[in-house]
Amino acid sequence: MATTVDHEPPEHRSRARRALDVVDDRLGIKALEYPVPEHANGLGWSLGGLTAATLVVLIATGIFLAQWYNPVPEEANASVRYLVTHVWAGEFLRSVHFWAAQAMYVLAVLHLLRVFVTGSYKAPREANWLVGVAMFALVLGAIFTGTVMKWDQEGFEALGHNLEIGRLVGGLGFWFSPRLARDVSILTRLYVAHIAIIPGLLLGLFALHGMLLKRHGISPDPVLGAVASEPTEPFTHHLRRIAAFALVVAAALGALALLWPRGVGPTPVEGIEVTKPPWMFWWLFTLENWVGLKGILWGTGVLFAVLVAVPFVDRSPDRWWRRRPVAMVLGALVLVLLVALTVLMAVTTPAQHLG
Amino acid sequence: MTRAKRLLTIAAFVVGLAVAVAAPATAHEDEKSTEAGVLVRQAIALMVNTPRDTMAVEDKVDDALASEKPAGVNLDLVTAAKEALAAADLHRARALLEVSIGASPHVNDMAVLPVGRTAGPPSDTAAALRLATGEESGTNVAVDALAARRHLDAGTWAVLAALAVMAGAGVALAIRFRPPVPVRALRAGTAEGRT
Repeated sequence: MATTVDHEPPEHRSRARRALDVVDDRLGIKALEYPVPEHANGLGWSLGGLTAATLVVLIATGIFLAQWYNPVPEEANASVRYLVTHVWAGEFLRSVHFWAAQAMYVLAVLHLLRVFVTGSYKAPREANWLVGVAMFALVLGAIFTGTVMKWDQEGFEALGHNLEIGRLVGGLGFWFSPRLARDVSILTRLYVAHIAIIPGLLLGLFALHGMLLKRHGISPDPVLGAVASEPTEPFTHHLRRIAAFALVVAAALGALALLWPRGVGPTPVEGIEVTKPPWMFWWLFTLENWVGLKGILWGTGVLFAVLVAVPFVDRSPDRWWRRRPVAMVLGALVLVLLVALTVLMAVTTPAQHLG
Repeated sequence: MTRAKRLLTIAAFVVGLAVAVAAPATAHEDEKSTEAGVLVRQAIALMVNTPRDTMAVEDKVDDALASEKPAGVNLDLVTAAKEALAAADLHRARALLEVSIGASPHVNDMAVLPVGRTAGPPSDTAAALRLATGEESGTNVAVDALAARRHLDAGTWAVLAALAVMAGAGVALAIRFRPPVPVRALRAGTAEGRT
Protein backbone atom coordinates (compact mmCIF):
# COMPACT_ATOMS: atom_id res chain seq x y z
CA MET A 1 0.00 0.00 0.00
CA ALA A 2 1.34 3.39 -0.94
CA THR A 3 -0.72 5.68 1.25
CA THR A 4 1.28 8.57 2.65
CA VAL A 5 1.84 8.31 6.36
CA ASP A 6 3.87 11.31 7.35
CA HIS A 7 6.16 10.77 10.31
CA GLU A 8 8.42 13.72 9.54
CA PRO A 9 8.78 16.32 12.31
CA PRO A 10 6.86 19.50 11.39
CA GLU A 11 10.01 21.64 11.03
CA HIS A 12 11.32 19.36 8.25
CA ARG A 13 8.17 19.54 6.13
CA SER A 14 7.89 21.84 3.11
CA ARG A 15 5.86 25.04 3.41
CA ALA A 16 3.21 23.63 1.06
CA ARG A 17 3.00 20.44 3.10
CA ARG A 18 2.59 22.41 6.32
CA ALA A 19 -0.12 24.56 4.71
CA LEU A 20 -1.90 21.37 3.65
CA ASP A 21 -1.63 20.03 7.19
CA VAL A 22 -3.18 23.21 8.56
CA VAL A 23 -6.11 22.85 6.16
CA ASP A 24 -6.36 19.13 6.91
CA ASP A 25 -6.51 19.75 10.66
CA ARG A 26 -9.63 21.82 10.04
CA LEU A 27 -11.31 20.10 7.07
CA GLY A 28 -10.01 16.53 7.24
CA ILE A 29 -9.16 16.42 3.53
CA LYS A 30 -6.69 13.60 4.09
CA ALA A 31 -9.71 11.39 4.51
CA LEU A 32 -9.62 11.29 0.70
CA GLU A 33 -6.37 9.36 0.85
CA TYR A 34 -8.13 6.11 1.59
CA PRO A 35 -6.72 3.13 -0.31
CA VAL A 36 -8.25 1.99 -3.58
CA PRO A 37 -7.20 -1.04 -5.64
CA GLU A 38 -4.81 -0.28 -8.45
CA HIS A 39 -7.14 -1.46 -11.24
CA ALA A 40 -9.35 1.54 -10.43
CA ASN A 41 -6.78 3.81 -12.06
CA GLY A 42 -7.53 2.44 -15.52
CA LEU A 43 -9.57 4.47 -18.02
CA GLY A 44 -12.59 2.17 -17.76
CA TRP A 45 -12.84 2.71 -14.01
CA SER A 46 -12.33 6.47 -14.37
CA LEU A 47 -15.40 7.06 -16.55
CA GLY A 48 -17.54 8.11 -13.58
CA GLY A 49 -14.92 10.67 -12.58
CA LEU A 50 -14.76 11.94 -16.15
CA THR A 51 -18.55 12.32 -16.18
CA ALA A 52 -18.17 14.46 -13.05
CA ALA A 53 -15.45 16.48 -14.82
CA THR A 54 -17.87 17.32 -17.66
CA LEU A 55 -20.38 18.41 -15.02
CA VAL A 56 -17.79 20.87 -13.73
CA VAL A 57 -17.34 22.23 -17.28
CA LEU A 58 -21.12 22.49 -17.66
CA ILE A 59 -21.52 24.38 -14.39
CA ALA A 60 -18.68 26.80 -15.21
CA THR A 61 -19.91 27.56 -18.74
CA GLY A 62 -23.53 27.57 -17.53
CA ILE A 63 -22.76 30.32 -15.01
CA PHE A 64 -21.28 32.35 -17.88
CA LEU A 65 -24.30 31.77 -20.15
CA ALA A 66 -26.75 32.65 -17.37
CA GLN A 67 -25.42 36.22 -17.28
CA TRP A 68 -26.98 36.94 -20.68
CA TYR A 69 -29.82 34.45 -20.93
CA ASN A 70 -33.30 35.88 -20.47
CA PRO A 71 -35.76 33.11 -19.50
CA VAL A 72 -38.98 34.69 -20.76
CA PRO A 73 -40.54 33.43 -23.98
CA GLU A 74 -40.49 36.79 -25.79
CA GLU A 75 -36.77 37.30 -25.20
CA ALA A 76 -35.17 33.87 -24.70
CA ASN A 77 -34.27 33.11 -28.31
CA ALA A 78 -33.16 36.69 -28.94
CA SER A 79 -30.97 36.64 -25.81
CA VAL A 80 -29.19 33.51 -27.06
CA ARG A 81 -28.60 35.23 -30.43
CA TYR A 82 -27.23 38.27 -28.64
CA LEU A 83 -24.90 36.08 -26.56
CA VAL A 84 -23.65 34.29 -29.66
CA THR A 85 -23.07 37.39 -31.76
CA HIS A 86 -22.23 40.21 -29.34
CA VAL A 87 -20.62 38.71 -26.23
CA TRP A 88 -16.89 38.02 -26.25
CA ALA A 89 -16.35 34.23 -26.40
CA GLY A 90 -20.12 33.78 -26.10
CA GLU A 91 -20.44 31.52 -29.13
CA PHE A 92 -17.40 29.49 -28.06
CA LEU A 93 -18.51 28.96 -24.47
CA ARG A 94 -22.08 28.17 -25.50
CA SER A 95 -20.70 25.57 -27.92
CA VAL A 96 -18.46 24.15 -25.17
CA HIS A 97 -21.58 23.90 -22.97
CA PHE A 98 -23.38 22.00 -25.75
CA TRP A 99 -20.51 19.60 -26.43
CA ALA A 100 -19.93 19.04 -22.70
CA ALA A 101 -23.57 17.97 -22.39
CA GLN A 102 -23.07 15.47 -25.22
CA ALA A 103 -19.87 14.24 -23.55
CA MET A 104 -21.56 13.93 -20.16
CA TYR A 105 -24.29 11.75 -21.66
CA VAL A 106 -21.84 9.53 -23.56
CA LEU A 107 -19.52 9.17 -20.54
CA ALA A 108 -22.44 8.43 -18.21
CA VAL A 109 -23.66 5.69 -20.57
CA LEU A 110 -20.14 4.23 -20.87
CA HIS A 111 -19.76 4.36 -17.07
CA LEU A 112 -23.09 2.60 -16.65
CA LEU A 113 -22.07 -0.07 -19.17
CA ARG A 114 -18.73 -0.57 -17.44
CA VAL A 115 -20.46 -1.02 -14.09
CA PHE A 116 -22.87 -3.47 -15.69
CA VAL A 117 -20.20 -5.53 -17.48
CA THR A 118 -17.93 -5.73 -14.42
CA GLY A 119 -20.85 -6.54 -12.10
CA SER A 120 -19.98 -3.60 -9.87
CA TYR A 121 -23.64 -3.19 -8.86
CA LYS A 122 -23.68 -6.46 -6.94
CA ALA A 123 -24.00 -6.72 -3.17
CA PRO A 124 -23.30 -4.62 -1.21
CA ARG A 125 -23.34 -1.89 -3.88
CA GLU A 126 -27.00 -2.10 -5.01
CA ALA A 127 -27.88 1.23 -3.41
CA ASN A 128 -25.05 2.98 -5.19
CA TRP A 129 -26.27 1.53 -8.50
CA LEU A 130 -29.69 3.02 -7.79
CA VAL A 131 -28.10 6.37 -6.98
CA GLY A 132 -26.25 6.15 -10.29
CA VAL A 133 -29.46 5.34 -12.19
CA ALA A 134 -31.13 8.37 -10.57
CA MET A 135 -28.16 10.52 -11.62
CA PHE A 136 -28.50 9.19 -15.18
CA ALA A 137 -32.16 10.23 -15.17
CA LEU A 138 -31.10 13.69 -13.98
CA VAL A 139 -28.53 13.91 -16.79
CA LEU A 140 -31.33 13.22 -19.27
CA GLY A 141 -33.45 15.82 -17.49
CA ALA A 142 -30.64 18.36 -17.75
CA ILE A 143 -30.25 17.70 -21.48
CA PHE A 144 -34.00 17.96 -22.02
CA THR A 145 -34.36 21.25 -20.12
CA GLY A 146 -31.24 22.59 -21.84
CA THR A 147 -32.82 21.82 -25.20
CA VAL A 148 -35.89 23.81 -24.22
CA MET A 149 -33.79 26.76 -23.01
CA LYS A 150 -32.79 27.71 -26.57
CA TRP A 151 -36.47 28.41 -27.16
CA ASP A 152 -36.28 27.53 -30.83
CA GLN A 153 -38.64 25.25 -32.73
CA GLU A 154 -36.73 22.13 -31.63
CA GLY A 155 -36.78 23.11 -27.96
CA PHE A 156 -40.40 24.17 -28.07
CA GLU A 157 -41.51 20.91 -29.65
CA ALA A 158 -39.52 18.97 -27.05
CA LEU A 159 -41.40 20.90 -24.39
CA GLY A 160 -44.69 20.22 -26.18
CA HIS A 161 -44.04 16.48 -25.99
CA ASN A 162 -43.28 16.71 -22.32
CA LEU A 163 -46.42 18.70 -21.58
CA GLU A 164 -48.49 16.11 -23.43
CA ILE A 165 -46.86 13.32 -21.43
CA GLY A 166 -47.56 15.31 -18.28
CA ARG A 167 -51.22 15.32 -19.32
CA LEU A 168 -51.12 11.59 -20.08
CA VAL A 169 -50.08 10.76 -16.53
CA GLY A 170 -52.70 13.07 -15.08
CA GLY A 171 -52.02 14.24 -11.55
CA LEU A 172 -48.52 12.75 -11.52
CA GLY A 173 -47.55 15.23 -14.24
CA PHE A 174 -48.66 18.26 -12.23
CA TRP A 175 -45.21 19.88 -12.38
CA PHE A 176 -45.33 19.85 -16.18
CA SER A 177 -48.78 21.36 -16.26
CA PRO A 178 -48.86 24.99 -17.43
CA ARG A 179 -51.76 25.37 -15.02
CA LEU A 180 -49.53 24.87 -11.96
CA ALA A 181 -48.58 28.55 -12.11
CA ARG A 182 -50.89 30.33 -14.53
CA ASP A 183 -49.03 33.63 -14.69
CA VAL A 184 -45.54 32.17 -15.06
CA SER A 185 -44.25 30.76 -18.32
CA ILE A 186 -43.23 27.13 -18.10
CA LEU A 187 -39.96 28.22 -19.73
CA THR A 188 -39.11 30.15 -16.58
CA ARG A 189 -39.90 27.14 -14.42
CA LEU A 190 -37.81 24.84 -16.61
CA TYR A 191 -34.98 27.37 -16.40
CA VAL A 192 -35.11 27.09 -12.62
CA ALA A 193 -35.02 23.31 -12.99
CA HIS A 194 -32.09 23.52 -15.40
CA ILE A 195 -29.90 25.82 -13.34
CA ALA A 196 -30.91 24.96 -9.77
CA ILE A 197 -33.09 21.91 -9.17
CA ILE A 198 -31.36 19.41 -11.46
CA PRO A 199 -27.75 20.47 -10.76
CA GLY A 200 -28.58 20.64 -7.04
CA LEU A 201 -29.96 17.12 -7.03
CA LEU A 202 -27.06 15.90 -9.18
CA LEU A 203 -24.51 17.35 -6.78
CA GLY A 204 -26.36 15.92 -3.78
CA LEU A 205 -26.50 12.46 -5.34
CA PHE A 206 -22.89 12.82 -6.44
CA ALA A 207 -21.91 13.35 -2.80
CA LEU A 208 -23.94 10.29 -1.80
CA HIS A 209 -22.39 8.29 -4.68
CA GLY A 210 -18.92 9.26 -3.43
CA MET A 211 -19.72 8.47 0.20
CA LEU A 212 -21.08 5.04 -0.71
CA LEU A 213 -18.01 4.48 -2.86
CA LYS A 214 -15.85 5.13 0.17
CA ARG A 215 -18.13 3.08 2.43
CA HIS A 216 -18.03 -0.05 0.22
CA GLY A 217 -14.75 0.60 -1.56
CA ILE A 218 -14.22 0.48 -5.31
CA SER A 219 -15.55 -2.85 -6.53
CA PRO A 220 -12.95 -5.56 -7.10
CA ASP A 221 -11.66 -6.40 -10.55
CA PRO A 222 -14.03 -9.12 -11.84
CA VAL A 223 -11.15 -11.44 -12.74
CA LEU A 224 -8.81 -10.72 -9.85
CA GLY A 225 -11.52 -10.64 -7.23
CA ALA A 226 -10.67 -9.23 -3.85
CA VAL A 227 -7.17 -10.70 -3.78
CA ALA A 228 -4.85 -9.40 -1.11
CA SER A 229 -1.98 -9.30 -3.60
CA GLU A 230 -3.44 -6.41 -5.61
CA PRO A 231 -1.56 -3.22 -4.71
CA THR A 232 -3.50 -0.20 -3.54
CA GLU A 233 -2.97 3.53 -4.00
CA PRO A 234 -4.52 6.52 -2.25
CA PHE A 235 -7.82 7.69 -3.71
CA THR A 236 -6.13 11.04 -4.37
CA HIS A 237 -3.94 9.26 -6.94
CA HIS A 238 -7.15 8.03 -8.61
CA LEU A 239 -8.36 11.66 -8.70
CA ARG A 240 -5.00 12.72 -10.11
CA ARG A 241 -5.32 10.30 -13.02
CA ILE A 242 -8.93 11.36 -13.63
CA ALA A 243 -7.70 14.96 -13.78
CA ALA A 244 -5.15 13.95 -16.43
CA PHE A 245 -7.86 12.27 -18.53
CA ALA A 246 -10.11 15.28 -17.93
CA LEU A 247 -7.49 17.57 -19.49
CA VAL A 248 -7.78 15.54 -22.70
CA VAL A 249 -11.59 15.65 -22.57
CA ALA A 250 -11.61 19.42 -21.94
CA ALA A 251 -9.25 20.00 -24.87
CA ALA A 252 -11.49 17.86 -27.10
CA LEU A 253 -14.54 19.87 -26.02
CA GLY A 254 -12.76 23.12 -26.86
CA ALA A 255 -11.75 21.82 -30.29
CA LEU A 256 -15.28 20.60 -31.02
CA ALA A 257 -16.68 23.99 -30.00
CA LEU A 258 -14.31 25.78 -32.35
CA LEU A 259 -14.71 23.45 -35.30
CA TRP A 260 -18.44 22.73 -34.92
CA PRO A 261 -19.98 25.72 -33.12
CA ARG A 262 -23.70 25.83 -32.40
CA GLY A 263 -26.20 28.09 -34.10
CA VAL A 264 -29.65 29.07 -32.87
CA GLY A 265 -32.85 27.67 -34.35
CA PRO A 266 -35.85 29.69 -35.55
CA THR A 267 -38.14 31.30 -32.98
CA PRO A 268 -40.83 28.77 -32.02
CA VAL A 269 -44.45 28.66 -33.12
CA GLU A 270 -47.17 26.51 -31.61
CA GLY A 271 -49.07 23.84 -33.49
CA ILE A 272 -46.48 22.51 -35.92
CA GLU A 273 -44.13 19.56 -35.55
CA VAL A 274 -41.18 19.67 -37.90
CA THR A 275 -38.05 18.96 -35.86
CA LYS A 276 -36.34 15.94 -34.40
CA PRO A 277 -35.32 15.85 -30.74
CA PRO A 278 -31.66 15.60 -29.63
CA TRP A 279 -30.19 12.24 -30.65
CA MET A 280 -30.26 10.84 -27.09
CA PHE A 281 -34.05 10.77 -27.32
CA TRP A 282 -34.35 9.39 -30.84
CA TRP A 283 -35.14 5.83 -29.70
CA LEU A 284 -38.11 7.18 -27.78
CA PHE A 285 -39.41 9.06 -30.78
CA THR A 286 -39.32 5.95 -32.94
CA LEU A 287 -41.63 4.42 -30.34
CA GLU A 288 -43.75 7.57 -30.54
CA ASN A 289 -44.04 7.19 -34.31
CA TRP A 290 -45.29 3.64 -33.78
CA VAL A 291 -47.70 3.97 -30.87
CA GLY A 292 -48.11 7.70 -30.25
CA LEU A 293 -47.06 9.79 -27.28
CA LYS A 294 -47.63 6.87 -24.91
CA GLY A 295 -44.58 5.26 -26.51
CA ILE A 296 -42.33 7.87 -24.91
CA LEU A 297 -43.89 7.34 -21.52
CA TRP A 298 -43.76 3.55 -21.65
CA GLY A 299 -40.32 3.43 -23.26
CA THR A 300 -38.80 5.60 -20.55
CA GLY A 301 -40.65 3.72 -17.83
CA VAL A 302 -39.56 0.30 -19.04
CA LEU A 303 -35.90 1.32 -19.51
CA PHE A 304 -35.62 2.75 -16.02
CA ALA A 305 -37.58 -0.15 -14.49
CA VAL A 306 -35.06 -2.52 -16.10
CA LEU A 307 -32.13 -0.46 -14.82
CA VAL A 308 -33.56 -0.37 -11.31
CA ALA A 309 -34.25 -4.11 -11.36
CA VAL A 310 -30.74 -5.12 -12.50
CA PRO A 311 -29.09 -5.64 -9.06
CA PHE A 312 -32.15 -7.39 -7.65
CA VAL A 313 -32.50 -9.81 -10.57
CA ASP A 314 -28.83 -10.61 -11.17
CA ARG A 315 -27.86 -11.67 -7.67
CA SER A 316 -25.18 -14.26 -8.34
CA PRO A 317 -21.83 -13.39 -6.77
CA ASP A 318 -19.98 -13.77 -10.10
CA ARG A 319 -18.70 -10.52 -11.57
CA TRP A 320 -16.74 -11.76 -14.57
CA TRP A 321 -18.84 -11.34 -17.74
CA ARG A 322 -17.97 -14.80 -19.02
CA ARG A 323 -19.66 -16.35 -16.00
CA ARG A 324 -22.83 -14.26 -16.48
CA PRO A 325 -24.06 -15.25 -19.95
CA VAL A 326 -27.75 -14.54 -19.28
CA ALA A 327 -27.11 -11.03 -17.93
CA MET A 328 -24.70 -10.27 -20.77
CA VAL A 329 -27.09 -11.48 -23.49
CA LEU A 330 -30.02 -9.55 -22.02
CA GLY A 331 -27.90 -6.43 -21.61
CA ALA A 332 -26.68 -6.71 -25.20
CA LEU A 333 -30.25 -7.16 -26.43
CA VAL A 334 -31.38 -3.98 -24.66
CA LEU A 335 -28.41 -2.09 -26.09
CA VAL A 336 -29.01 -3.36 -29.64
CA LEU A 337 -32.70 -2.48 -29.36
CA LEU A 338 -31.89 1.08 -28.25
CA VAL A 339 -29.34 1.53 -31.05
CA ALA A 340 -31.73 0.10 -33.66
CA LEU A 341 -34.56 2.41 -32.55
CA THR A 342 -32.15 5.34 -32.64
CA VAL A 343 -31.00 4.51 -36.18
CA LEU A 344 -34.61 4.15 -37.31
CA MET A 345 -35.33 7.69 -36.08
CA ALA A 346 -32.37 9.00 -38.05
CA VAL A 347 -34.04 7.94 -41.30
CA THR A 348 -37.60 8.98 -40.39
CA THR A 349 -39.41 12.26 -41.02
CA PRO A 350 -41.01 13.79 -37.91
CA ALA A 351 -44.74 13.11 -37.75
CA GLN A 352 -47.42 15.24 -36.09
CA HIS A 353 -48.33 13.93 -32.63
CA LEU A 354 -49.00 17.06 -30.62
CA GLY A 355 -52.53 18.31 -30.01
CA MET B 1 -47.94 -11.75 4.80
CA THR B 2 -44.58 -12.64 3.25
CA ARG B 3 -42.09 -10.00 2.22
CA ALA B 4 -42.72 -10.67 -1.48
CA LYS B 5 -46.49 -10.29 -1.01
CA ARG B 6 -45.99 -7.04 0.89
CA LEU B 7 -43.83 -5.70 -1.95
CA LEU B 8 -46.42 -6.78 -4.53
CA THR B 9 -49.20 -5.09 -2.57
CA ILE B 10 -47.23 -1.83 -2.38
CA ALA B 11 -46.42 -2.02 -6.10
CA ALA B 12 -50.08 -2.67 -6.96
CA PHE B 13 -51.12 0.28 -4.79
CA VAL B 14 -48.64 2.60 -6.51
CA VAL B 15 -49.71 1.47 -9.99
CA GLY B 16 -53.38 1.80 -9.03
CA LEU B 17 -52.78 5.30 -7.71
CA ALA B 18 -50.96 6.28 -10.91
CA VAL B 19 -53.81 4.94 -13.05
CA ALA B 20 -56.40 6.69 -10.90
CA VAL B 21 -54.73 10.07 -11.15
CA ALA B 22 -54.04 9.51 -14.83
CA ALA B 23 -57.69 8.84 -15.66
CA PRO B 24 -58.70 12.50 -16.15
CA ALA B 25 -55.96 12.82 -18.76
CA THR B 26 -57.87 10.63 -21.19
CA ALA B 27 -60.42 13.43 -21.46
CA HIS B 28 -57.81 15.70 -23.03
CA GLU B 29 -59.31 17.58 -25.96
CA ASP B 30 -57.85 18.26 -29.37
CA GLU B 31 -56.49 21.80 -29.12
CA LYS B 32 -55.78 22.49 -32.80
CA SER B 33 -56.35 26.15 -33.42
CA THR B 34 -58.74 27.39 -36.09
CA GLU B 35 -57.86 31.08 -35.75
CA ALA B 36 -56.63 32.59 -38.99
CA GLY B 37 -53.85 34.50 -37.20
CA VAL B 38 -52.45 31.32 -35.65
CA LEU B 39 -52.68 29.46 -38.96
CA VAL B 40 -50.80 32.25 -40.76
CA ARG B 41 -48.10 32.14 -38.08
CA GLN B 42 -47.83 28.39 -38.55
CA ALA B 43 -47.55 28.81 -42.33
CA ILE B 44 -44.65 31.25 -41.84
CA ALA B 45 -43.00 28.87 -39.35
CA LEU B 46 -43.25 26.04 -41.88
CA MET B 47 -41.59 28.27 -44.49
CA VAL B 48 -38.77 28.96 -42.04
CA ASN B 49 -38.30 25.39 -40.82
CA THR B 50 -39.19 23.24 -43.83
CA PRO B 51 -39.15 25.55 -46.86
CA ARG B 52 -39.16 22.62 -49.30
CA ASP B 53 -42.49 21.34 -48.01
CA THR B 54 -44.61 23.93 -49.84
CA MET B 55 -47.65 21.68 -49.75
CA ALA B 56 -47.82 21.97 -45.95
CA VAL B 57 -47.53 25.76 -46.25
CA GLU B 58 -50.30 25.89 -48.84
CA ASP B 59 -52.54 23.79 -46.59
CA LYS B 60 -52.05 26.23 -43.73
CA VAL B 61 -52.74 29.22 -45.97
CA ASP B 62 -55.91 27.55 -47.27
CA ASP B 63 -57.00 26.80 -43.70
CA ALA B 64 -56.39 30.45 -42.76
CA LEU B 65 -58.47 31.69 -45.69
CA ALA B 66 -61.29 29.29 -44.76
CA SER B 67 -61.13 30.14 -41.05
CA GLU B 68 -64.26 31.39 -39.33
CA LYS B 69 -62.09 33.43 -36.95
CA PRO B 70 -60.27 35.88 -39.22
CA ALA B 71 -59.81 38.65 -36.61
CA GLY B 72 -56.50 40.50 -36.84
CA VAL B 73 -55.60 39.12 -40.28
CA ASN B 74 -55.68 40.96 -43.60
CA LEU B 75 -57.15 38.20 -45.74
CA ASP B 76 -56.51 40.09 -48.99
CA LEU B 77 -52.79 39.83 -48.27
CA VAL B 78 -53.16 36.14 -47.42
CA THR B 79 -54.88 35.62 -50.77
CA ALA B 80 -51.99 37.44 -52.45
CA ALA B 81 -49.58 35.19 -50.55
CA LYS B 82 -51.45 32.15 -51.86
CA GLU B 83 -50.95 33.43 -55.40
CA ALA B 84 -47.26 34.04 -54.72
CA LEU B 85 -46.97 30.49 -53.44
CA ALA B 86 -48.61 29.20 -56.59
CA ALA B 87 -46.01 31.15 -58.54
CA ALA B 88 -43.28 29.52 -56.39
CA ASP B 89 -42.25 32.93 -55.01
CA LEU B 90 -41.68 31.84 -51.43
CA HIS B 91 -39.91 35.06 -50.44
CA ARG B 92 -42.82 37.27 -51.49
CA ALA B 93 -45.36 34.86 -50.00
CA ARG B 94 -43.61 34.98 -46.66
CA ALA B 95 -43.40 38.78 -46.65
CA LEU B 96 -47.10 39.05 -47.49
CA LEU B 97 -48.07 36.64 -44.74
CA GLU B 98 -45.96 38.55 -42.22
CA VAL B 99 -47.53 41.86 -43.13
CA SER B 100 -50.99 40.25 -43.10
CA ILE B 101 -50.76 39.78 -39.34
CA GLY B 102 -49.20 43.18 -38.70
CA ALA B 103 -45.55 42.16 -38.49
CA SER B 104 -42.68 43.78 -40.33
CA PRO B 105 -41.39 41.69 -43.21
CA HIS B 106 -38.36 39.63 -42.20
CA VAL B 107 -35.05 41.40 -42.56
CA ASN B 108 -32.34 39.09 -41.30
CA ASP B 109 -31.70 36.39 -38.72
CA MET B 110 -30.82 38.93 -36.01
CA ALA B 111 -33.96 41.07 -36.31
CA VAL B 112 -35.86 38.97 -33.80
CA LEU B 113 -37.62 41.65 -31.83
CA PRO B 114 -38.65 44.07 -34.61
CA VAL B 115 -40.12 41.22 -36.62
CA GLY B 116 -41.58 39.48 -33.62
CA ARG B 117 -43.53 42.52 -32.42
CA THR B 118 -46.75 42.85 -34.36
CA ALA B 119 -48.33 46.27 -34.64
CA GLY B 120 -51.84 45.19 -33.59
CA PRO B 121 -54.87 47.46 -33.43
CA PRO B 122 -54.44 50.65 -31.30
CA SER B 123 -57.04 49.50 -28.78
CA ASP B 124 -55.09 46.32 -28.13
CA THR B 125 -52.32 47.94 -26.08
CA ALA B 126 -52.99 45.80 -23.00
CA ALA B 127 -52.74 42.60 -25.04
CA ALA B 128 -49.53 43.82 -26.65
CA LEU B 129 -47.98 44.42 -23.23
CA ARG B 130 -49.06 41.07 -21.79
CA LEU B 131 -46.19 38.62 -21.37
CA ALA B 132 -46.48 35.02 -22.47
CA THR B 133 -47.53 32.63 -19.72
CA GLY B 134 -47.99 28.87 -19.39
CA GLU B 135 -46.98 27.07 -22.56
CA GLU B 136 -47.29 30.06 -24.91
CA SER B 137 -44.32 30.49 -27.21
CA GLY B 138 -44.32 34.29 -27.06
CA THR B 139 -43.52 34.30 -30.77
CA ASN B 140 -45.59 36.34 -33.18
CA VAL B 141 -43.64 35.53 -36.30
CA ALA B 142 -41.02 32.81 -36.77
CA VAL B 143 -37.58 34.18 -37.51
CA ASP B 144 -34.88 32.41 -39.52
CA ALA B 145 -32.34 30.24 -37.71
CA LEU B 146 -29.02 31.82 -36.88
CA ALA B 147 -26.55 29.51 -38.56
CA ALA B 148 -23.39 28.50 -36.73
CA ARG B 149 -20.38 30.39 -38.03
CA ARG B 150 -17.01 28.67 -38.00
CA HIS B 151 -14.20 31.22 -37.94
CA LEU B 152 -10.99 29.53 -39.01
CA ASP B 153 -8.82 32.60 -38.54
CA ALA B 154 -5.39 32.93 -36.91
CA GLY B 155 -6.93 33.26 -33.44
CA THR B 156 -8.86 30.01 -33.85
CA TRP B 157 -5.76 28.15 -34.99
CA ALA B 158 -3.83 29.56 -32.01
CA VAL B 159 -6.51 28.32 -29.60
CA LEU B 160 -6.58 24.95 -31.35
CA ALA B 161 -2.81 24.71 -30.95
CA ALA B 162 -3.14 25.53 -27.23
CA LEU B 163 -5.84 22.87 -26.91
CA ALA B 164 -3.57 20.35 -28.62
CA VAL B 165 -0.84 21.16 -26.07
CA MET B 166 -3.41 20.73 -23.30
CA ALA B 167 -4.48 17.34 -24.67
CA GLY B 168 -0.83 16.32 -24.98
CA ALA B 169 -0.20 17.35 -21.38
CA GLY B 170 -3.20 15.29 -20.31
CA VAL B 171 -1.92 12.22 -22.15
CA ALA B 172 1.59 12.69 -20.71
CA LEU B 173 0.24 13.03 -17.17
CA ALA B 174 -2.07 10.03 -17.64
CA ILE B 175 0.96 7.97 -18.67
CA ARG B 176 3.03 9.31 -15.78
CA PHE B 177 0.28 8.52 -13.27
CA ARG B 178 -0.60 5.10 -14.68
CA PRO B 179 -0.54 2.17 -12.25
CA PRO B 180 2.96 0.71 -11.85
CA VAL B 181 1.63 -2.81 -12.38
CA PRO B 182 -0.93 -3.16 -15.19
CA VAL B 183 -4.11 -5.03 -14.36
CA ARG B 184 -3.34 -7.51 -17.13
CA ALA B 185 -0.08 -8.44 -15.40
CA LEU B 186 -1.91 -8.82 -12.09
CA ARG B 187 -4.49 -11.04 -13.75
CA ALA B 188 -1.76 -13.12 -15.37
CA GLY B 189 -0.05 -13.45 -11.99
CA THR B 190 -3.27 -14.57 -10.37
CA ALA B 191 -3.85 -17.11 -13.13
CA GLU B 192 -0.33 -18.48 -12.65
CA GLY B 193 -0.88 -18.67 -8.89
CA ARG B 194 -4.06 -20.64 -9.45
CA THR B 195 -2.29 -23.10 -11.74
